Amino acid sequence: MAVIESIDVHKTYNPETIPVRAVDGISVSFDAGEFTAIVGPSGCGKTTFLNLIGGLEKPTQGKVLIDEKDISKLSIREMTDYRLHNIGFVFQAYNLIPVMSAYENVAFIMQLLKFTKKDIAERVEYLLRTMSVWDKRDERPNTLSGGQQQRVAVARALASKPKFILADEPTANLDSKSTGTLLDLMHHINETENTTIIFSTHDDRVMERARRLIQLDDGKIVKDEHKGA
Amino acid sequence: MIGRLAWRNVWRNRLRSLVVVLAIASGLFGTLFVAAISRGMIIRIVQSTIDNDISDLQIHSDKYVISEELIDVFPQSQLQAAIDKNAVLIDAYSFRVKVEAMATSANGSHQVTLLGIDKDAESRVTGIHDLVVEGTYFDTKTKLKEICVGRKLVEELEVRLGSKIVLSFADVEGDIMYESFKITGIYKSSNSEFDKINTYVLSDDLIPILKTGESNYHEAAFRISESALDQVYSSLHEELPGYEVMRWFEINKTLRAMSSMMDLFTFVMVLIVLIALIFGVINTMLMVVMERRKELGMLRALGMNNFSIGRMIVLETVLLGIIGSIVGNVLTYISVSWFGDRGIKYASAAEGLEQMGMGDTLYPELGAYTYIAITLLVLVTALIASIFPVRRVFRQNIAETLRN
Ligand SMILES: Nc1ncnc2c1ncn2[C@@H]1O[C@H](COP(=O)(O)OP(=O)(O)O)[C@@H](O)[C@H]1O
Ligand SMILES: [Mg+2]
Repeated sequence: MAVIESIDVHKTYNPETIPVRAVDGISVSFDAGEFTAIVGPSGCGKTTFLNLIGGLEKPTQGKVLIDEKDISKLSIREMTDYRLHNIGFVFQAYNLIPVMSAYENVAFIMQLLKFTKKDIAERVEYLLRTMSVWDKRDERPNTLSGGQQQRVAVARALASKPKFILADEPTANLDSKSTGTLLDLMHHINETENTTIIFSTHDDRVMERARRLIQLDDGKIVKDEHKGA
Repeated sequence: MIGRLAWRNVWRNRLRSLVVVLAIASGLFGTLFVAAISRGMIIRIVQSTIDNDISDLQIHSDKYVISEELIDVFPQSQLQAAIDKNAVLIDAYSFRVKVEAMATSANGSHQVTLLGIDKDAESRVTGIHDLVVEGTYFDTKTKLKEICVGRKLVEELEVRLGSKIVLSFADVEGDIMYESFKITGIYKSSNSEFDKINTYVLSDDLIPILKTGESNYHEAAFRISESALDQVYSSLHEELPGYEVMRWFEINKTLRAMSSMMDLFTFVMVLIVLIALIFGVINTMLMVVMERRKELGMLRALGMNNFSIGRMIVLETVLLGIIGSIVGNVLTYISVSWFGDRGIKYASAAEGLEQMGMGDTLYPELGAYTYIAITLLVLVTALIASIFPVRRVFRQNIAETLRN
């Protein structure tokens, strides 16, 4: 069954002046447990598409269904709440709160969700260990390497046990070694926790690791291939 | 958790936060210290007027209040029962005769108010005996009639301790009497105008000359603690028909008006300073949220709702305000205590200050409620200031802030 389904989704910026069709009629669905890469050149609409299915932007046309529920109908407030409960985000940069330690950054989201202290302590430890940053738990983001920061960000995205994780170019600022480590860990999570992960990239080596590749160009899907699962 | 986050955010840019905190603190300190000096002046005027001049409560015959005729005296015995009834609540009292007189020396003359007093009773009521700077307070073994005068009058008349001066005044029948007194005491209060006018003699010396009758007086003055004042006032008022019973602020109406005017003045000053500060705080917080645009966008994307985001920014603003007002209050408190004990000697303006009854030294003073009121005002100011950065954040499009 599809976790996320987009039906003829459009997003046009500046419709009044110089319209930019950032997403131009995308219909696609993602099943639970998928590990999918959205690929394509810069400006092809990857970020916009992820924002649309992540409820950060509203489509100008079309529907986004999550568990068969049309999220574009939600109010801003409901949408915020929806993101908190259902979606884990990893961005290219500025993922972490600079004044909080790695541990606190991951715990933060669980505190917003009112998890008990005990649950928080257990899960944060588990996630930081899984992402191999447990020894960095008391350090603030600026003392961590880019790769470590992104691993903490993935741990944080997982903390709320979301339906899926959206990661917009999570490796864009990383060297190849850190990129490899991060992808290994994301893979591992996808397999062990069965977390649905959708990430975007324009790096060939990164897209190779995905089990499904959706290629965009000019806001349209030009290729959608499943690799031998 | 939001509180901890806000607290840490305040100290992210230490220098900037310190500048804001110091701006608030010094604004408050400046205003409050000036207010404390003004307040100290007023309190001193009020206190010295009560201590040396009008006391806490006075009783006159109701006719005397209007006409100030020598004849409008009352026998002490008529008041005694009412006084005894309130004896526990009355700290001290003194009966006086009072007449306008002309004091003349070989070198000049000046109009004075001549008060005939009982030495012991008066010493318990007014502080003049403590203010004697030369000679004694009716303690000289002399056969002559003694007079205690202010330093300023001594200067006016160009006389000195031991000089004789002549006082002329009408007696109860309207005949002008001349009587010579020896200056055996010279006092100096914080009010040079007062010192010029008020001269003291013993009632035993004055009454026979005035012919107002033994144990008849014009005025009874009382010292009563603040807490008991209203109670004693009501009781005396009830017990003594035909008498005018007045509390200090009814006798000298400007005294109380001065205090409340000073409070208003302080409030207006603080308000102006706070309005100036509010712009500084708004400006700083707008800079803060602009700098943290991406981070705030990230938090909102993750699902931190407007209420939590708003609370965090409001808290950051309020923390700046609170820290600023704590520093300002502490600075003020230390300075006010330090100078309140030692006084600020203001030599160049001493003469003017003494004419107004403030002595030559300023003693700053500030009530505890002022500190509390200021802190609350700063809190309100910070709350108002935080509206603007919060609105700025809410207007930002999350997706936009996250794009590079
Ligand atoms: N707020 C905006 N206003 C106008 N055009 C925009 C805006 N955001 C993105 N675009 C345009 O939309 C297109 C798709 O952008 P984006 O989704 O960021 O692509 P990608 O993430 O693949 O690089 C680009 O041409 C970009 O310039
Ligand atoms: Mg992008």
